[in-house]
Amino acid sequence: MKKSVSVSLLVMGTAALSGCGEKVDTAVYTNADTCTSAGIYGREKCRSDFEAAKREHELNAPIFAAEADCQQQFGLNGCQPSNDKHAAGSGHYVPLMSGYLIGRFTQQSALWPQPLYQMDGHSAYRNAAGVLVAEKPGRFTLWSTSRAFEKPEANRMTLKRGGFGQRAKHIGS
Amino acid sequence: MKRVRMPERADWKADADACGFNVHTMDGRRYWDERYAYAFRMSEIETMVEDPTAELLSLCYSAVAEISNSPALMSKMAIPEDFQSAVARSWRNRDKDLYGRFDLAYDGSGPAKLFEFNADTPTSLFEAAVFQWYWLEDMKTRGNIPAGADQFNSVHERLIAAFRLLAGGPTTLHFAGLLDVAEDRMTLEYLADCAVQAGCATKLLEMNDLGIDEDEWLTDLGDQRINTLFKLYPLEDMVREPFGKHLVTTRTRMVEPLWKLTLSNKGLMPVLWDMFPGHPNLLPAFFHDDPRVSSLGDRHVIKPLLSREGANITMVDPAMATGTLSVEGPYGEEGHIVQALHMLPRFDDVWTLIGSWVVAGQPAGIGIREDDTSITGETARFVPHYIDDA
Repeated sequence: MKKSVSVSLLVMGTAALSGCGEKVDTAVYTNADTCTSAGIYGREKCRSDFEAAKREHELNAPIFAAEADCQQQFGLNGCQPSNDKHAAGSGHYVPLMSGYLIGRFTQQSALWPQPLYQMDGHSAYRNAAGVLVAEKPGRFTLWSTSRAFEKPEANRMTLKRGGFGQRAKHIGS
Repeated sequence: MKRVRMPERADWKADADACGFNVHTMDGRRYWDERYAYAFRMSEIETMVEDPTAELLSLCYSAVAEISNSPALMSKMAIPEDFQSAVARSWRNRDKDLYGRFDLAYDGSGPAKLFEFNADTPTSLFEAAVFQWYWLEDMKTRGNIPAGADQFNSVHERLIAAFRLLAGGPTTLHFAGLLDVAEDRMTLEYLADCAVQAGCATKLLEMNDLGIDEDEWLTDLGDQRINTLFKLYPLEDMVREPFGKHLVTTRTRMVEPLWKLTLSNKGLMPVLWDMFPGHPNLLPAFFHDDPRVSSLGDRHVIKPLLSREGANITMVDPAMATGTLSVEGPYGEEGHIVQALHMLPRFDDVWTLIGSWVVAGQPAGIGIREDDTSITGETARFVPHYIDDA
């Protein structure tokens, strides 16, 4: 046979492109108390996920050698010294954890309680990899393929942007 | 190879819209045209289209080795000097490519002749890979085509397999292009869909939203480093734009890779003819300043090194009433080639061009376009095909 055995589209046409797989019910809260009083998750789940996110923060928060570099991104009152629990050791600076991501594990996504951070002057919550997770606290839905679920990796600031697009207007060939 | 009249499905437009094929009609003209179809024999597809496609691809790989090793040839093909060593490096490293489309003239007899290789930003992909496939299944179900009919079209499966290979594990692939051009967006969305089916996460972005970080990684709007960038945007334009200098140093993997500059260039045609003179699937071709141009006689085609959709091509033939046929366009300042005139086959009142797809180095299928003129251009219509030996 010369043709594909089957041809299926997962996300084109009827679904948003960034979506595929399944929708995951998640929420962002500032701490275990605001989580509990929101009434979506039980007190115990709120507390244990907060503790897990806090441990992750202590171990893998974004790290800066100089306090000034940390403050430049997270604000004058947004940083603290790291302690020896951090993977990079003590004597450095990490942003304050300003919230956490909570949700239920599903078949397709390894949702894990994540510490979240707020950049200086911004209310949105980002994870340690810099991925924007939510604009504000509360319940929301993520696709299981969302980058919010990716484990953080080294992330640097972009120096410049501008990209391409000055010459070609339509490229079909 | 026959052109046959087919019943048009009453509801095909709704199907097309539902699966995201939203350019089936352009400027009020049909682009997808299922009032006709081309019927082939299996032996014809295998020996006259599929085998020559594999053969042509291997000739092209030989040509890449030759061209990327020769600064003089690269200059002749208007590959800017600043990028020549990066082109050679990307070939030495065997940077993986994804796909391409040979444009072949074939009429059911005689060897298929290569017009050109769209090796960098080929489109008409979705209609070939998906909508044409659905059309055949539908026509078989409705009893209009024998149930045992086949199609030369494993493009979809091969794209998914290629993305699995490219990604090498769960990762995020970025897809960049001109998102406000409907056709380009559709192609990107389709490729991203294939990547998702290969287990990747995907992200779409505009070409001008690309950034660069201090370690020479391309970045997206979230400052995330781009590991692998598929760009539906001509490499030959990228190397001529100010941001292009980062292509030489970036650690981001580009798909298509830089060595595709040596193939998606009409200069490939004279290079192939020089390396493989008399090859049955090639047409004689020379760079415009080559004295051998005169050997082509007064019937020939002048093509810019860099052009798309038939633009700026001039066909010279004393037999034509006007002597020449030209398509206007913005290309040509980089130089030209001259190719022996070989007319596309005519079926009824149309001119027919076969687009033969290669995915990850393998022949993958065909998509056929018809036009009312002998230079296939923006007004061409996509017509499906099937294979039936019954």
